[in-house]
Amino acid sequence: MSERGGIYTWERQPMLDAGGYLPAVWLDGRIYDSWVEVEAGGISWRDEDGVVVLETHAGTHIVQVPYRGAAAPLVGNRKEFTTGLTADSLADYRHLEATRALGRPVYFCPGLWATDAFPASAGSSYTLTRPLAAGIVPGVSGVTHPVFVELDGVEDPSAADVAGQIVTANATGTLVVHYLAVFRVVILGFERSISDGNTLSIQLTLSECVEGNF
Amino acid sequence: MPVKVVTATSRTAGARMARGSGLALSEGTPREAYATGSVDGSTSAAARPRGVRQEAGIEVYVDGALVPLRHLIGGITVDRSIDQPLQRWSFGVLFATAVSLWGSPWARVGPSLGRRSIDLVGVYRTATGVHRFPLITDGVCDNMQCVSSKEGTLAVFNGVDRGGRRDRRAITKIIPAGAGLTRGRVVQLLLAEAGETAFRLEPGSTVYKEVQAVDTSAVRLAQEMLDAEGRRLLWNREGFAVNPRIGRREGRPLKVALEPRDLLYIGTVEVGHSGDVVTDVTLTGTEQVVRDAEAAQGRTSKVNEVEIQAIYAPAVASYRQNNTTGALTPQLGPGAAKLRPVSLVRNIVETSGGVVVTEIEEVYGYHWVEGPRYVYGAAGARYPLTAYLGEDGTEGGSEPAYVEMFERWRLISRKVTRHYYAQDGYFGPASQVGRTYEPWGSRLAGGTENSAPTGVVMPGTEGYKLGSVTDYFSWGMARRALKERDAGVSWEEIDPRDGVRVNGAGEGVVSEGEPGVSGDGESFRLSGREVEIIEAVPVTGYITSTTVYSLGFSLRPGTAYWYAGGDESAQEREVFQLKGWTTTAYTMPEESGHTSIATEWVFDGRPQVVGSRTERKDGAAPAVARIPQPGNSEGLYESEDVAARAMTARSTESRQIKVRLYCPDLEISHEKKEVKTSVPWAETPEELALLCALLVEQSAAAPVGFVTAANYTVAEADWVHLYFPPLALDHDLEIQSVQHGVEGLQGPRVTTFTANAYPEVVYGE
Repeated sequence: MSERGGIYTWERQPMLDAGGYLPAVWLDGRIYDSWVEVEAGGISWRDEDGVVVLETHAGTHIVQVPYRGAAAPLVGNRKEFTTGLTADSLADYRHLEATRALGRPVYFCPGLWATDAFPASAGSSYTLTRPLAAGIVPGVSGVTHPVFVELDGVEDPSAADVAGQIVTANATGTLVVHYLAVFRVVILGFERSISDGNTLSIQLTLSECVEGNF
Repeated sequence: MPVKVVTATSRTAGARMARGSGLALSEGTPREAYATGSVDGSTSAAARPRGVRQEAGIEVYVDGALVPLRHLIGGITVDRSIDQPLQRWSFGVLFATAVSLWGSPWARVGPSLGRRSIDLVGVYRTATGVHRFPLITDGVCDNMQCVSSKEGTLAVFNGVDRGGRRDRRAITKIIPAGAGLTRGRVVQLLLAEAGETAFRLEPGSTVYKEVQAVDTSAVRLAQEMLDAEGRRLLWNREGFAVNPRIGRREGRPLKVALEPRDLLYIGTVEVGHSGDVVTDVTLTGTEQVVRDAEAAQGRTSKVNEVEIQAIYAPAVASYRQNNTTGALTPQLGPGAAKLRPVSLVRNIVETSGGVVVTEIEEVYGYHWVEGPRYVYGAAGARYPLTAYLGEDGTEGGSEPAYVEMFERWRLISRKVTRHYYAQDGYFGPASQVGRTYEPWGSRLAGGTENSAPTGVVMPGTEGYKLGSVTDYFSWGMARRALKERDAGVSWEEIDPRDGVRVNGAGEGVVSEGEPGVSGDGESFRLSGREVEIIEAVPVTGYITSTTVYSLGFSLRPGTAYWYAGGDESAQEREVFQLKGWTTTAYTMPEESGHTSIATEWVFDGRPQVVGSRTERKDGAAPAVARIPQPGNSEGLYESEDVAARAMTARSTESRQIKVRLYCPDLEISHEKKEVKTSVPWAETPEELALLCALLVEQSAAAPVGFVTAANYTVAEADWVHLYFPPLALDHDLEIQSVQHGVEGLQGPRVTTFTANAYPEVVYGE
């Protein structure tokens, strides 16, 4: 893996001084070692929602966000993932096929961090877009992968308590929470190809299904 | 006109919102705290975002419990307009969600929501928290559309606001003439009868007309009354019944000032300028005649006369008949015709305590008193009488004979109607109980057909009209039999009776004077009588039956006497007696109408039915007229000061009012457009004048349309200012309609407005 440039590798946490790393990708309760080779297929992700920009008759713009509940983050950031891997384990491949065949949302943790922001009021509770990986993915905990909390642009770990998907604000202000997330996804696209012997390549499109009591 | 708010029953619905919301609302928090514009500066900025981010949406509550946003699928809309009496809303959920939360539509025989209370609330989230603005309060679902498509299986609920719970209620309510309530108070009473409890009505003008609602839609009647002031009956966003005047700002504040940077390109900005402007309005109506209660206690009499003049010469006898020889001696004959009064009709209305008790119609004109011309003697011999004849007189002829040389100006006919009511001072005469020929007995005196009056009025019928007696007076002579016989003898064998006088045509007549002496002949006497008896249900006043008895000169059948023309009778002369009656019976009010059965009887000594007619009619049975009772005003007045405004009035006593408004300056740019109509509920010429102006201004209004980011603070009938130079707009606008829409999660939250800009209109004299 490249050690030059970029902030994201499977060996290093982005922008953190401490914390472990995920040596593999976790999907539907299984570690996929073969995804370590992901750089061959790569992974890309984008936000599917967010703000709406409305143009006015004055040539100005109004930024609008749909209200999704008092406990929701300020902006939705549902993700859509595109990733590829080479099937080098029959057990892995079958499990992948089974996940798709069951057609239900499953947890997906590619070791990516998510960010949610809230207009926090001390004592109030808010809901992250998706849960922390800690407690769901083996080997991930609040110790190995602590959340990163900012209050009004300044790091402040005491500004909020985060557990599961719930954020309890201990202060008032704009609260930003960076966290290692599990994404609840459904397999939308499953493309297989064999270009050469023993080179079964798989391209997956995973669409996040947000769930929370906002 | 200053705007005042009538404080009435209020609702604190905030408690309902707090329950189940799980959010930072305290129990019992009045909803108004969120509804009157900016709770803090952040909500003003959120409603009109300039340089700030707007987070907006709509929440739905069912019976006070928030429907989690995660259950809502598709669009949520709220559609409010001053042109629709009921405001509309819609939202969608998965069909399975609807069934699990509220039940199956099949089990409910209709929408799953049933009659549940529906609230829709506009929400902003700002730096200071969540702020809610009611958009629909206590709405009710009227439709559920279930759709299965590749997008899913959805249930879309549609409904109306709180007014929909009152809209179909029919009421019966009577507010007597002269009550003096404000129009807002009258509307409140009507809606209260339909079950409404939440009011914020402006008082409006004073109403003196009688309001009689019988099985009528309260909402429709209230709107008809408010039309006279240019007002609308609406339920506002908080669920209160309101009655804003449309078209005049009257000091109401501007809710918001908008500029081009507030208007979205999603929608166009449009202004319409109509050429179809009313330039000439004439409105008519009636004004209730009222009298001060104290001044109206005594008896009054009002006389109205109408005289007709024509070229006319009073008749003068041309001949005088000799009572011995029958020879005719020429007389003066008629003189020259000239213009003179030929008819005078005098109407007299007498009231007692403001109630009409007597109506008299007298007709004056020229009348020549007729008299007998011949008299029968012994053995059927006929002898002439002294009499005057007209130009057509011949010796021994059959022309009419007169008792005087010329006709005179005199009272020709008189009709007197007396009305009787179940109240001291207004009862009628008591007839002798048991008199066969006055079958109504003592009904007009408050008794029955078979008993004397007790002096006690049946509870619930105080002031009811018992009936009336109409007497007809005219000139005439009763008929008299020419022949008399015992049984078994034929009329041909019998001569006319000795001493019977006959007129020129040979008809036997009853004549008061002595034979041959002038002065006998016709008399001005009671010639007919109609007695009306009314039966009505206590309290409600529905009439169950009316009977009109007819009396006059008539003959009972028999064989003892013979009259000219061949009539036979048991009576020697016509007698003033009962001839028959017509009874009209009404069923009790039905759902959609009533039935009347009219039965006609004749009485010739015994009653016989001669005809019957059944009719089915819309609406309730007619209501009896009644004298307003002190007890009737119970519940009408909110205070004694208000009750003191009551006047004495008779519902049928009114005068015509008419106002015309002409705008010559408008006709410089517009073709003349004239409107003439009546306004039944207008009370005064001043009201008609204001309504004329409103009609002109409404027709001249320029409709404006525009779209903004979600604005939950402005509602229909609010006023805003819009500055939009490209269309030369820099005007105060009256909002006509507001549509809030949320289309899925990622669709924009916008509000679509239509409004009216009212140009200044210059009125002519």
